[in-house]
Amino acid sequence: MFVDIQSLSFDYDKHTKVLTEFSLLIKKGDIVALIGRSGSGKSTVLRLITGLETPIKGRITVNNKVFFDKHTNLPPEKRNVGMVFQDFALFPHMTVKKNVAYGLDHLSKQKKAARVNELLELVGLSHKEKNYPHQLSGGEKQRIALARALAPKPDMILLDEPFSNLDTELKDAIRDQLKAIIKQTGVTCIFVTHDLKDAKQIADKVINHT
Amino acid sequence: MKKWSAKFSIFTALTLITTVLVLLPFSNLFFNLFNKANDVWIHIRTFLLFDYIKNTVLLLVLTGIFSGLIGFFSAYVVTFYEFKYKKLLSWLLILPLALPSYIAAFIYADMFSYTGSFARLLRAVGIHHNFDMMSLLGAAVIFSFTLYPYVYMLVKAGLKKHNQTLTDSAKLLKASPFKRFRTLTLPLSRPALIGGILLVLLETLNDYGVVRYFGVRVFSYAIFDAWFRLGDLSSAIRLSAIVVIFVFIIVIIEKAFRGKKSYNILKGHKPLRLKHPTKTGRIIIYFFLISILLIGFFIPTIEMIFNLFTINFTLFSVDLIYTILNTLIISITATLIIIVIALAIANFGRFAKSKLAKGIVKLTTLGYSIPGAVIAVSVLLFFTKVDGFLYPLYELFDKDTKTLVLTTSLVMLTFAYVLRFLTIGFNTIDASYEKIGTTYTEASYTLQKSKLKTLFLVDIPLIKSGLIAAFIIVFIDIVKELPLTLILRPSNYNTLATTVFIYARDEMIQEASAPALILIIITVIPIYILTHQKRGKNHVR
Repeated sequence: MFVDIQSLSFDYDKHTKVLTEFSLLIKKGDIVALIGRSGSGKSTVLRLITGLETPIKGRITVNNKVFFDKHTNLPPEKRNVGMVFQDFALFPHMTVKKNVAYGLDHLSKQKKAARVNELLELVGLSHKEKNYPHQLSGGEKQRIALARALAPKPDMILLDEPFSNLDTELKDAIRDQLKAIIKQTGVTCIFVTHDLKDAKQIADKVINHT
Repeated sequence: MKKWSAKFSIFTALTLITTVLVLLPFSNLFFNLFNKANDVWIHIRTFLLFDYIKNTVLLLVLTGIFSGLIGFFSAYVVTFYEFKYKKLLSWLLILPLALPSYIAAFIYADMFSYTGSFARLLRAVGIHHNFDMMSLLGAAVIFSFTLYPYVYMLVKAGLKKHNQTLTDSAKLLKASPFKRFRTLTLPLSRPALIGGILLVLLETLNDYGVVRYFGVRVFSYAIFDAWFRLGDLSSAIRLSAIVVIFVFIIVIIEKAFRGKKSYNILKGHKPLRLKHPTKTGRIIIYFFLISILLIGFFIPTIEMIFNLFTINFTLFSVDLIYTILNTLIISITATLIIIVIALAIANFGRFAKSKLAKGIVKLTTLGYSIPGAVIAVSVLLFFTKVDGFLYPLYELFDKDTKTLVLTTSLVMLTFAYVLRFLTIGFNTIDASYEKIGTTYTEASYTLQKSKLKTLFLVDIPLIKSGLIAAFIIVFIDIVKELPLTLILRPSNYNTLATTVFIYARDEMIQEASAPALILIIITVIPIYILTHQKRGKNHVR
């Protein structure tokens, strides 16, 4: 399996168990929706995969690379996993272009520019490259955050409640766009939501996490 | 890759090193407490200790009440009332922070002395009463008028967050203006008021210049006295331990007064409706605010300018230029070190989950609550030991080396500054980090950037204004600092603060005026920059 998560457990302190013995298998290129009530620990799963939190036990393997087990704990910057945060986390002091280019230090200047253009075209926002995040609408911010996460060609991409900051009308329009973009890149994806409609419309597989 | 490596970073390393360096001098002090009591200590305990405790408590109580009243009501007036020159006055009210208490003390003592300008003025109008400025009450007044800006700034920030809806509800419930003040404004501002008074009291405990000059026998006076006049370090250590107990009691009282309630500001914040005072009201407001400003800043400053003309003093002598350079170089160096360490600790702390890690962060920022005299004792003891330990190494480089190398160098003084002022730098930076949250940093990590790269590319640009504020606040404090500098400076090394103190101690008040004025100018400029700092267009929303 492309993503192999086994018996993952996590808590913030001894009294609050957030995640117990969580396991998940995902095929390459699949979009998986993790659905559940707020506070059920679904966002924590994403944070554990990225390495922003450390599990107390379990094993995480992606593309045959061990992220976490008894002996290993790769830092986030070594995991090659992209993430779109709930509030998008676009760097407010950088333009759209700089935001998208942020994770592309390993490329030459020309290749970097080409990759940024490619991504901005993919999300349909080439004309906004000189804008700052505060000059974008909610939907545009989300697409730029997605472009930024996809730019370094991550092994997988994680989306934390991608629609929670969008208006209902915008949400309906953007769901299909999002699915199309992810499918076009072929990247494996997990997204977390509390809305079954979101999950059914976008995901190949829905996992109910309670 | 080993499991710990994901968590361990340069921030962790710097935090742990700082913790050790903070704890070593204090634990050294603690262990020295268990040495057998000598005759000097028995003498102090029998004849002097009660007076030290009584004077310290009285000074703290009076200063707390006066500064609380001045700070609270000045903040109240500029927040709730609309009047001409309000903006200017609300900025000017911060200015006394630029005037070190000891400078105000020298100037007022001189003005109130028999030949002083104020005493002569009173005699000229037929008042022959002699005000004894150089007393405990005089010291409390000086501290209150120079330190109240701590209360003023915190209360003003707190009052600004008050919601008009609360006042409107109280009005509909027929609460009188006094009842609204007593039941809403006062309790809602209590955390800020108590927090501000705590800062004033810690500064009062830290002071040496005022109490030494006025001869008020409180603890910082006693520590210096035991150490330098009676020549007994072990008694100074015991007195220091009692001061630390005092600090803990004050902090506990502050916690108790602040209470467990946390007042959440209602969302959908409705701006305050400002009151327009009557003509009489306006006169009272102007009289109140201008009196505070005159006493707390302008009278001493103008008197110093007059002093300069009286003695025909050269403003910039070669010695003074060296002193200014010394002050700027050591203050900037220590501030930069503090900012780097505070940045590392804040970074370590914001992602720390365990109680141990949070405890470590608290430990590293102990210094500000410990008075300068106590830090001086601890640091001197510590560096003497370090020098003893490193002596074989010194000998490798120079066979005729002196025993105390670090102890007689600026390293020790810089170390002491870091120990004392790290808290201020840390708190300001930490508050900025709290505003931006952790997601920008986390987003950067997921985009394959290391912690250090993230710091420079994301964190620092986003908290830039907080960093500048931290730099300015720490810098001002170090420029003004007296007790640490006085004890730990190498011989023949002077800063503006020590120069002012030495002139004043030698009854050369007029000569003290030039360095004192320069010191004030050096602190006023950053205060102006800090209060007029504009936020960039891309600031975090």
